[in-house]
Amino acid sequence: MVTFYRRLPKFDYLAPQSIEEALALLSRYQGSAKVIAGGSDVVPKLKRRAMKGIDYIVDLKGISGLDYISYDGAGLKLGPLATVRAVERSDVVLETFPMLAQAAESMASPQVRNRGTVVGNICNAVPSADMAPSLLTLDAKVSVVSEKGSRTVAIQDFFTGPTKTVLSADEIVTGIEIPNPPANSRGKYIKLTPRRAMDLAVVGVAVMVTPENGICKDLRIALGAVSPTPIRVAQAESILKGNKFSDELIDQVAEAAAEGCRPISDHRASAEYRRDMVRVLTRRAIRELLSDEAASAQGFGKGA
Amino acid sequence: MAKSSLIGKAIPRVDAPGKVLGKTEYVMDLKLPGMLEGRILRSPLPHAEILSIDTGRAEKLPGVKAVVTAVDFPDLRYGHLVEDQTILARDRVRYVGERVAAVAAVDLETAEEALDLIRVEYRELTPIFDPLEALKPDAPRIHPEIDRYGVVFASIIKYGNVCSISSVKRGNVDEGFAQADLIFEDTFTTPMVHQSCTEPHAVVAQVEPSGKVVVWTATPAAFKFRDGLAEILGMPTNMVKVIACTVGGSFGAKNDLRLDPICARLAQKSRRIVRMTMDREEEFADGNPRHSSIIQLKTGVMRDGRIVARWARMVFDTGAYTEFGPAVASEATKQISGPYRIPNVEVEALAVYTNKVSCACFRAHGGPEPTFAYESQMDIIAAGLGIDPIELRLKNAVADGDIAPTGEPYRKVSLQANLRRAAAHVNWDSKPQGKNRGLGIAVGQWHTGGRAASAIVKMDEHGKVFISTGCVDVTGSHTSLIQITAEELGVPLADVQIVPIDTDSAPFDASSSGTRSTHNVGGVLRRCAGQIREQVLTLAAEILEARRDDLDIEDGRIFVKGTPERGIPLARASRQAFRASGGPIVASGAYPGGALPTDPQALRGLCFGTAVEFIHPVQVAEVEVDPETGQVTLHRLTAIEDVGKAINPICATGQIEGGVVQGIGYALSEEIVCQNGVILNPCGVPYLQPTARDVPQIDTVLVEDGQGSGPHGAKGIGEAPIIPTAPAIANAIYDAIGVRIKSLPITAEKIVAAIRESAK
Repeated sequence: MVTFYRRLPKFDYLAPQSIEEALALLSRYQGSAKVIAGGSDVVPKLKRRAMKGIDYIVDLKGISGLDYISYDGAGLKLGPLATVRAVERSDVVLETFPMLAQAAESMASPQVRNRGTVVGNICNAVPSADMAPSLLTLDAKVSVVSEKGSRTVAIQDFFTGPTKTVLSADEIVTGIEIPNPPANSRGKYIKLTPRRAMDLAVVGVAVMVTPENGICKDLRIALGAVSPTPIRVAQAESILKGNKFSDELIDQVAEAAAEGCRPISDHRASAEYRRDMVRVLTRRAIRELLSDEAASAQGFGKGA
Repeated sequence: MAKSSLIGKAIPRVDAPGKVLGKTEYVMDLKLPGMLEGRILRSPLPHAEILSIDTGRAEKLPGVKAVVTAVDFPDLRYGHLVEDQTILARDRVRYVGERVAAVAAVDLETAEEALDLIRVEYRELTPIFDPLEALKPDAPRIHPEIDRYGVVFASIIKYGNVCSISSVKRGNVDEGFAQADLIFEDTFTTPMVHQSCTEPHAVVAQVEPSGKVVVWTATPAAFKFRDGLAEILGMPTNMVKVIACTVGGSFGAKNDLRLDPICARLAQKSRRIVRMTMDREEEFADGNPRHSSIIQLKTGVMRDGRIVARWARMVFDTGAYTEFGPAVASEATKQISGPYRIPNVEVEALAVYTNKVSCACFRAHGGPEPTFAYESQMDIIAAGLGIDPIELRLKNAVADGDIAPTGEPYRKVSLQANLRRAAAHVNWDSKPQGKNRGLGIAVGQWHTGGRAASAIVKMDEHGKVFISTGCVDVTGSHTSLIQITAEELGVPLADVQIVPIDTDSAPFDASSSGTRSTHNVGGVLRRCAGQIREQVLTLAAEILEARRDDLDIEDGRIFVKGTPERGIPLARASRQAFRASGGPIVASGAYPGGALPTDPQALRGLCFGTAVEFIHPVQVAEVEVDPETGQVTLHRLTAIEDVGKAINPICATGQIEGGVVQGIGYALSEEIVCQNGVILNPCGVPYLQPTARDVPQIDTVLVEDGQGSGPHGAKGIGEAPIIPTAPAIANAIYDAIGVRIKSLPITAEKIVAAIRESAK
């Protein structure tokens, strides 16, 4: 029974030339077709036989014009073929949404980042998906189409469980829209890993804060790897919002964030450690964002 | 004597261009006509009886050319130490991933499809995963037939689930502890860790029309492979030829037969050439990693720091089969006293069966585990006594004339000097302390120069030199061997080559493992080259009508000393050999191996002799710890290495850096995690070897005292650098934040928990 499969299971490889064609294929083959972009998550899963009943692979890579990273003043748009590496190195992302570039850079290796896509990272929907916490704090919107029509899903509603999303078998994500963050906001993603590269987050914390005259105008906190899905912790956010920043309140926010997650224990870390680190890293992220150096190094551009 | 010596010259490795350009061919790159692909069916269960194996459907699958199970092999058990293994499981499986059947087919897809068609009926047996459970008198027996197993060394003691127990005794520990002012008792644990060679195991096998089996494989031990193959296949040794291909990393992982006999049998059965390679997951499931260990250590000291007694009990989890367990346990009993003068010693080590992958050799087998324990405890003692850690070590460090508890003599020891060098290099006395920063030191002890080696050197009619040796290059050693030979002969480096190695044509070499290649083979080559020099100078003396003693060779030219314009190209003299009666210019030589004398009264159970001399590495780690997350940042690792003479400083430094990096992984992140016998992190991303970002500046200090017994005063170096790294880091962490972690790897989580505990 234990075979260490080196070869992929048999499937038909389909390379549609348009989204319409891709949607028709998904509709025709229903649950037995799987969409890939970079394939960096799906292909290893297929090889391990961790994904069953896939007879068709629908590869989007042949469809032109889907790798866009565009900014129109109101927000950023990422196409389904925009690679993690492209987002990491995009000038507009670095300038306007540096937290996204930071999350992208933290993932895997350059080789994998050249292959994998940001959309693929959220569609794979592991709890530790590195792009998710930043996208959650940015209130990203996911555009979804099928032959039946299109819809927009808030990223908060996109994940439904470990490796599960709201997508049905005939749907494709055609893009992510990320609205401009509030003026004077600053954000950062802290990824805790045992190893400094090529590792999965034990805890991922994304924080975006908007200070105004010592008052917290807005605060958004999202966590990865500590719940069945990446999550926002609204209860923790509300503690500081509208209040003057203080060490005491920041501690309370961090505590509430730790209470707001539901981590598991596995060989990478215990639930207790993960929860502790949510507290430590949430506090650290807020404090660092409030310091002037952090504002220039990690903050969003003024008026963005 | 103005000519510049090739010894100590930092020339680039001869194998570097091919590897850097991606042109070097490894076994897995071989493509031979009509070659089949072989794959293995493995046990899904940690412990079960095999009731039946039905290969019928697999054999009928189009494209399948052969299927083999245990019945295709002679009914024998083999092993380096205890003969408890079969090449495919015969009646029982004892770990998840154990080899049960194999298929050769026209391609990988067909082979894997065929594996899915093999039906194996199992009856599950109670598995044991914890070696301490396995030691209980009522524990189920993993090898009920253990008493009937043959042993390769009569001194091996085995019983129950114990495949070997070794002990060392000197003086009287009870008296020692009674006399001690203070007694320190600690338990340390170390994890199972993986060599993770860049190149996985791979083999290609072909059967010649004569029936001779030819195997292309990557191993540092070609002759051991040949002999093992012959035994398992039931053939005379001269009907098996092993071609030793380029090795993409071994670190002990490729010392043992694994795929090779299966591949050979598939080739015999299918009458086709067969290739087999392992996946990364298979490397973990069925490689031979380093044993995990549980080490209880008790040390009695006087207030002035003198150690007066040591007691230790070490349990090594050897997994399903003995493999190298007894050698690891034997080595650990010698290691655990460290390079320290301890009058009263009583230590024992057991290798214990469990239902996990068998463990074998990993760079310095049985070295890093006890060293982590005793060097961590040295700092615990230093803190307890209020003595500086280096002072404490200097106070107890062995010197020339001392005798180890095993009876082995210390000669030309540089430990105390190396400790002082380390202190000077890192400014130990003015520790540059920042908040949460710390310095930690640890020493190690290893040995060099064991087991036999040989070589044949030929100078051809063009004055070019060809070395034939069974010594496979796994470390860069061929570059050093070429340097030694060229230097002795006075020829350019480019005129010396090492002939590709196969067991038919190369003379015997035990293995490129055990810190021995340059030391042993280099010495042989130096002597062979000296003989060739004599022969060619004698021939040249006739041509030049000069006295032999007046001649010298430099840069491939023979000339008369004093009147250097009187000379001939070396090739002119070497051609003369075919006109004279002597025939081709050839020299051969051997090195018998050896071991230091031991005191038989002190030893019980298997005791592998320490090779011909001790070496003593010293390392210092500089760390910073984040007390909130527990994360450790390494700022610098200083490795003081007892090399005797660096034949090639690039190769020596590379070896040391590699060992240190493996030591860093051992210290901080690496651990094979098993749950119910299944490895949870069986590949490169979840198994946390250090990346370039995790490795700090490594300061390598080559101590060249010229005191080694190898060529030009060289000592062996290969394994030593991995030994002291983990305790140096553990001690630095203690220095930084005052918590002592006694269990490797020292994860961030363990540090946070320990900080919390110490705050209570």
